[in-house]
Amino acid sequence: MGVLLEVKNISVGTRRNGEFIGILENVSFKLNKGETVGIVGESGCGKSMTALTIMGLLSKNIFVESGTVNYEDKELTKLPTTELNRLRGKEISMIFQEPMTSLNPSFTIGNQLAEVYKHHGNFSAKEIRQKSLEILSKVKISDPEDKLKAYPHQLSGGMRQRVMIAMALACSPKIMIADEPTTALDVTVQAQILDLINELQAGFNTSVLFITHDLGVVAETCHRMIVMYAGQIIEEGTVAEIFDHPSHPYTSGLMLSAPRLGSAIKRLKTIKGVVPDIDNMPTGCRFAPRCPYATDICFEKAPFLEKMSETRGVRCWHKL
Amino acid sequence: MIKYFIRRTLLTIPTMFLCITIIFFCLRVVPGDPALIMLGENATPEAVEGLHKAMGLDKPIWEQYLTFLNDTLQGDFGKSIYSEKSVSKQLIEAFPHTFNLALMSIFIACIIGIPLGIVSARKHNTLFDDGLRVVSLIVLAAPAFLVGIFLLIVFSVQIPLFPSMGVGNGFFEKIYYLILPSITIGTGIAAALIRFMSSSMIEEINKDYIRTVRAKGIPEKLVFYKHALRNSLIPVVTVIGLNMTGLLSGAVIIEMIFSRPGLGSLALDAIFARDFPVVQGSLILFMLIVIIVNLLVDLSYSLLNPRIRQS
Ligand SMILES: Nc1ncnc2c1ncn2[C@@H]1O[C@H](COP(=O)(O)OP(=O)(O)OP(=O)(O)O)[C@@H](O)[C@H]1O
Ligand code: SF4
Ligand SMILES: [Mg+2]
Repeated sequence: MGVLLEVKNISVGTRRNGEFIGILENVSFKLNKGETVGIVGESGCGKSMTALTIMGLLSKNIFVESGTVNYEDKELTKLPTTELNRLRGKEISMIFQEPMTSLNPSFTIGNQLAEVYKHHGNFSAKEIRQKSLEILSKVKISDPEDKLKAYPHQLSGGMRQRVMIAMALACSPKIMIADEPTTALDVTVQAQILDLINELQAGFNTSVLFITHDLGVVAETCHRMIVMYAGQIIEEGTVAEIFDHPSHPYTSGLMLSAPRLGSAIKRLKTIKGVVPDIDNMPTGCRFAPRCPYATDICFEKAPFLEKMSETRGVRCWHKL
Repeated sequence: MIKYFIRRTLLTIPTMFLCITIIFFCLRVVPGDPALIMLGENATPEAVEGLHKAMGLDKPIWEQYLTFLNDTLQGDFGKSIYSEKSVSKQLIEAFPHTFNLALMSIFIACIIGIPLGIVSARKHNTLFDDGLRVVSLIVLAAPAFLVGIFLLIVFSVQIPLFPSMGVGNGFFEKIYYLILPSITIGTGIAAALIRFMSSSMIEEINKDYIRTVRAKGIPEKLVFYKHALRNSLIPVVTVIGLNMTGLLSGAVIIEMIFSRPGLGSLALDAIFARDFPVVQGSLILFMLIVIIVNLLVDLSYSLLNPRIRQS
């Protein structure tokens, strides 16, 4: 398995009164060919920001302070927009958290889908139409002919998310980033969309970075997983390893709160307290104020992400 | 959508009816006896009464109102007290001049306001944007009649590039005569349009769907000029429409300054002369224009916005 994407020591943040305020701290991970990697963590821990950093889609007030994102022979954080545009949508694509607002309300589905083909290939109008119809059937949209002419407001949330997936997969990308693709949807629709992503991932042999609140989803879809807390990776490893024996108190807390598919972390909160504010990070371990195992050292010295094996890493002074 | 068009169009009927009624009763309250004005201050009471009878002013007010309503619906606004010319004829003659002025002003406002608004959005928070903001504030603050007089003095009197009065004949000459007056009105609207276009565009560019477009690898140019532009134009069209009505009052003054025989000049002259039928006719026509323009704005708004179009 070759490495397809390598995120290396990425620190991302914003600037307030000339002072740098970090949001992501030293995030590093790899995505191999054909692999699905899950990123989990509570709301606000920096999952979306990690994805947007890779895509070069950070908002204007947020910037990459240090680190690199390497894809093939390119370093994405330094790539000019015109070159990035040759990759985005073609080799690396993304599905967003908010299906209701992620499509342009003023253009038809057909128009928005055709754009992807227009900018990443040399197809005639007829070929584009043909391809659009094909990809819509692949994501199991009924009456694709009619849907091409439809406007986003005429489709349900689940349908729109299928359209988003169709757009993301249109050019058979090497990497697809799915940022909580099902969070905003009904439970029944969630399962359908997940099945679809799994099926398509296998069919297209796409590597997937799967961001979610839902540990059950990770267990079902991912090979490896990354647990984030307050802008840091606190544990990583294969899904089997971590589910078998979570070593970080936070991960173990998550497992207790969400043992089954469909039960998101947000809803079942057994870990007391909240994620610390970016302005007010604890000096030692960022989890210390909430950690049942915390000792003096935890409050004084920040733990480092210790490599336990080829795949495993844990950031804790007192591993479980 | 056809249903919406029909419903929206039918809605204008009660509005018109209400406005015509208001105009009628307002004018009856205004002091000044038309008969006295026509006959002069020294007329005998008998003569005044005779004329009252002839004009139907001796009848009860509701009867006058019904006659007025009936005449108005047939497009008959009576005759001018002075020239005896039919009011509708005068209105029809004056209307095209005002219409051309309004159209040209809006055109100038759009070709200046929309592109500069977009540029200002793209260069948000730069020196260029700040400069543009200052200039448009100055233009906004300057009263139109001052701008008009200034342009007239500089480009017509000092440097005789443009005519100072009249409307010209033939298409090109007409446009030539329109340049100064429509720049006068157009720049004022453009200044407002720049700010509005720019903030509308900035609002759109920060929306979720723009991130999707960028994630698809669509060039920045299209992100702005295709995706953000279409949506940011929707509120701008409304503002242009609303300005269209404000434009009419602007036109009154500008027509005086540039001595154009449009509706504004006609109405203003009539007011000074207390020429009742002409004032009444102009008011009704103004009202009609406002109502029709609002109708067109709503209809074009629905064409731009598929959510309204399809329901
Ligand atoms: N434009 C921004 N300016 C300043 N701070 C921001 C901005 N966007 C996000 N943040 C902060 O960055 C942190 C990480 O946000 P991010 O959206 O990555 O969280 P997340 O893990 O995706 O959460 P969720 O599960 O709710 O989507 C949050 O604390 C958020 O407040
Ligand atoms: S370092 Fe200490 S506080 Fe942090 S997770 Fe480990 S035990 Fe808890
Ligand atoms: Mg998120």
